[in-house]
Amino acid sequence: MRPSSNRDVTTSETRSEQPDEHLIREVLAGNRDAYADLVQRYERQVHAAGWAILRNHEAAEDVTQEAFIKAYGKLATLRVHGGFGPWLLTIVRRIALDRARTKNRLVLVSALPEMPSLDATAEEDAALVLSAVAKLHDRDQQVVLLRYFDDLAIADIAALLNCPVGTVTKRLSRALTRLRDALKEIS
Amino acid sequence: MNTFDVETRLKNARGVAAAPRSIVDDVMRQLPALPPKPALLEIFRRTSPRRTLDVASLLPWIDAAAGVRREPRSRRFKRICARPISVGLGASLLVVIGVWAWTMRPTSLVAQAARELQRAASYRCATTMVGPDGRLIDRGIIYWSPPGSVRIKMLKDEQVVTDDIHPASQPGIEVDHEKKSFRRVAAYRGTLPPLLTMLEKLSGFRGEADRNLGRSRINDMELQGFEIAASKIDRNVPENHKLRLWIDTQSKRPARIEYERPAFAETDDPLTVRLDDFVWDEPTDNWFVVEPPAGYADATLKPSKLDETTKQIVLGLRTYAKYSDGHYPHVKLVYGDVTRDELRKMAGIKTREDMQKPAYKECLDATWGFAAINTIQRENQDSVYYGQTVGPNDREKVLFRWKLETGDYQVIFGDLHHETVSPQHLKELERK
Repeated sequence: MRPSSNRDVTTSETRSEQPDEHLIREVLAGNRDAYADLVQRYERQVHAAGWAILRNHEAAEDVTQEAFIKAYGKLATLRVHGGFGPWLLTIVRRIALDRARTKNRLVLVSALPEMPSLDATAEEDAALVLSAVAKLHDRDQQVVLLRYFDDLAIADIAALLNCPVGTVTKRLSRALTRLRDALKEIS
Repeated sequence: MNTFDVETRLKNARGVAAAPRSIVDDVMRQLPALPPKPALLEIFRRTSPRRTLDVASLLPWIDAAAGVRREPRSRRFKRICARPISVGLGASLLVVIGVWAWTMRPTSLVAQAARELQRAASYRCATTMVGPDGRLIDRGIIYWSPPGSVRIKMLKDEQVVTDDIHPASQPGIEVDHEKKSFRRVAAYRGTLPPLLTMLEKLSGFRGEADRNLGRSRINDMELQGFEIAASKIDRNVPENHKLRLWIDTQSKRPARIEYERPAFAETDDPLTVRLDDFVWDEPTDNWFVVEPPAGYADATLKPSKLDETTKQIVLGLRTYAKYSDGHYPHVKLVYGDVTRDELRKMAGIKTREDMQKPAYKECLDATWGFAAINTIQRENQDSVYYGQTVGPNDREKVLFRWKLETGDYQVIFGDLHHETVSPQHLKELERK
């Protein structure tokens, strides 16, 4: 039988509370399992970033996996370990855009939207919101995704990013204002 | 114009774009056994005769391992440039680069072949199915053109006996020249047949081959062979299925592709499907015409009734859960034959004698259900199967759903009860 995932993407109980820097140091020192904590920490954000471009869960999952594998291979080249999240989002977006360009040529049957008629408005809006998130500064983007996609409390985000709670609150508030403005402009 | 507050919209976006399952295990399984490869400069440092040279500060990898703090990049660059680099060091570096380039060569050829497959405007190739000891089972010709148009002709004594034509996203036709009949079939709106899905996924494959099969010469072409576990390309097939790819070293295009499905038990025969004699980028004007030949009888099947289809699927999944110790196929795409093989294995059908057992009849009946799921996934782009995360105890969770012509959805839940629901209700169910 194929191995299967027993992890539940909707829970964060098993999530390591170590900051990214610490986990990355462990991975680079040879503790491969520490990478699982990083994957678990960022998989939702990365999937959402992939989905925003490809609009298909299977394709997004493929690019998410590819991004994590690529990031692992290039982890030694990441200069600022605290910037792992934004760096990963850049990788997944690059892969997804590449895939989307291919899709335009191939129009992969398996990559068609999964439920276009189910709730096109919600899907459109999600894509719109996520594309606006993608245009935020790296750090702001990370805070927004951790707060709204991972449902993390402000204090948890501060612990993860190794910064004071006030900084997270400030960044979040600034990011929401920018998002609001950006979305208003589009509307 | 959307008037929701931005926080609500972010939460809604999460509902739509959230990953349906965790991929941690999948990623960890695919990671190399070794820690992330240090940059070339680290290899250079290790092989350098001037080990006192402070190149440690060049590499974040070393920072991490040794806890070294970096000085500003510009100063570091000047300092390193100021030191003499010996000829020996340069030579060591060249050797390392040479070795690195050589070891990377096979992977890049697979990637190039995948890209060529992706770029092709069309291809036509011969397909041969071979059983044990090289026994020929079937022969045919495949025609393919983007975006996903497929035609498969099967041959007997060099005559075309069946001709299945499926233009992309449009209804197709299946012509039986022996019976002089045809049937109209629904468009492939979901997924392509398994082998073509494999080829489609191969075109996007950027991983590494598991084995280099060396060089060989076929039809005046110099070929380089590679073997890849098929599950690396399509996660919905078992891990022991293999894909062998023979690449023309000149054009970088695949010249032969072999898909090997080993026997899962004594009752089964191994099967290899070979694709070769590729002809690339031909005009496709007449390839996907869905007109039946004059005088052929219309044998189009009446669509099976919803109740009947649902009953078949429920029976198949119930039988699978019974023999799998309480779970459904852990895949996204349910392939009829693959799932049947797994079920037979779990039910202990391994020898010819086992075929007399009641479990064998159960497996046969269940296979119809798997085929029904596969057909729906192929033809209905609004179908989703959640067997990877939903099990028999999930009474409220959607296990499989597909869209009906009425616009409603047929839903089979984790505990296998079923309902027809509105799109709005489905949305609520899928949030659970």
